[in-house]
Amino acid sequence: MENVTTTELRNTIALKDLPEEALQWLLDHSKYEEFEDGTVIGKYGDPAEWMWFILEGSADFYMNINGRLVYYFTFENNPQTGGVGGLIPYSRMKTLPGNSYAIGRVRVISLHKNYFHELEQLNPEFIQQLIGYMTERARAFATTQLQHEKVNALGKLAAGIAHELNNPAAAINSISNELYKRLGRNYELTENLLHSNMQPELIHTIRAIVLKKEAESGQKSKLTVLQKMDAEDTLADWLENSKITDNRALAETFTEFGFSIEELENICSMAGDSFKIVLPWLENLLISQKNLTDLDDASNRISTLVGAIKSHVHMDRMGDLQSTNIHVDIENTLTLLGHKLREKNITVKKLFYEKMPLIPAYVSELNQVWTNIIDNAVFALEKNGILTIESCLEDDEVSVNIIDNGPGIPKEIMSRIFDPFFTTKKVGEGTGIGLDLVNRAIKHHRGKIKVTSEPGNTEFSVFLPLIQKE
Amino acid sequence: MKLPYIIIVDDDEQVLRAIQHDIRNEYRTKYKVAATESPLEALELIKE
Repeated sequence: MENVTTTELRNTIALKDLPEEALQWLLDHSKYEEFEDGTVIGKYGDPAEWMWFILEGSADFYMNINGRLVYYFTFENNPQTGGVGGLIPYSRMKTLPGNSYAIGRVRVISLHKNYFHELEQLNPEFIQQLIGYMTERARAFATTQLQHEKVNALGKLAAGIAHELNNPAAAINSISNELYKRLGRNYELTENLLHSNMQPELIHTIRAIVLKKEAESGQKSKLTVLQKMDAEDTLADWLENSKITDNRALAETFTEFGFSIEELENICSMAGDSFKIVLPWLENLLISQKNLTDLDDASNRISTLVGAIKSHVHMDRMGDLQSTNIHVDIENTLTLLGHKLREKNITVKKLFYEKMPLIPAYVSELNQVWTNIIDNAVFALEKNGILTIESCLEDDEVSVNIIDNGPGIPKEIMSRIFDPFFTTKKVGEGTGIGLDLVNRAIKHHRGKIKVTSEPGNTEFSVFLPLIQKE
Repeated sequence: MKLPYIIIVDDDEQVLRAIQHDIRNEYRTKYKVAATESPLEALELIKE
């Protein structure tokens, strides 16, 4: 190792207090390497066998997350990492978890793990110091990971919301186009109507019939698709026999509004010869009306969703105790997770205590509790699963039970589910912080959480006091 | 005259209605256009 001297080694922070003979031992047992800017120092999946000390330059570490390389942090000669990289004594790392790239010209010396034992005999304090660096490194990892999880969670939420908003927005767009067409046609149909010799009072009568239909529409049992198609066929045939053009489209609309042949015949008999003009005119009116109802539904859906998001993140009130209706909060959470529930066709059973009082809470934190527990339940559930949410009031506390009939939590991991970073999901897929957040939020409320699980019945019970002290 | 069926399935009622409406406008003369939110009902229809 011609270029390196023990004096130079002392520039590396981890090595600066090491006695001369230890430095010399290190030099004698290490290999010297140089890397050009941008070259790979360590590659993902390679066996982790070397500890390296940086003499010059630095290295960017990119974690391999499901095949994607994500920047985590930079190894350099600073007090955090001490200029030490690679495998550190007592680390359980078997293979490299990602790639390291040289930044600038990098010169290192590397010690193979076979010498770690000898090094410990020689200088146990140094090993202690190295383990300190490892802890720092683990902390940096955890912090970065936490940030990535948060960004991921936010991304997922945004994707879900985008999906939820897109459908009603597309519906509004298509309906308003249709409405334009229908209004245009109205000129033509009205003109025809004025040319016919029908009595103006007929419009009054028709209006009454339509109003009656509307009143009935709520209570009438829904037809199956097949029954509906049959009804359309019958009406279409009748219209065709009456020499009315566009008979299919008219039949569809009249069926939708629940008109029977008798009722149409009734209108026709009142209209006399002009019924051929009256029916298309009426159909156009009905469709326009239905379009407006659909527009209303779609825009309500958007408002509900935006409302759910707003109260979920509690945009307007942060960090303070607020009285909140936990049923509304849970409903909002379900709205936000709606796409996941529909994806798995999950049935949600709500057994809410009817006279639930408002309870004091840090609302956005509490919403995290509902979101994380319900999200976990949905993740655990199989297709067509059942999610049950119960609420009760007992003496001085409120309890909420969130129950899924999924496969359950294995006994051997039960004790660890609340540990931060513990997850059964794949890297990048699961947070591993969800239940830790839940636990912390509940502690903040001086509440309790209990879990019981067996196959087909996993129950998270949250208990919250009715009174909070500031 | 027996027309062939087009069966549309979507879990979102508003989307379902919009699609049914568009497809009907295009194919009303050549097909019967059935729409349902329930995959089971769609399967029943296919059997019929």
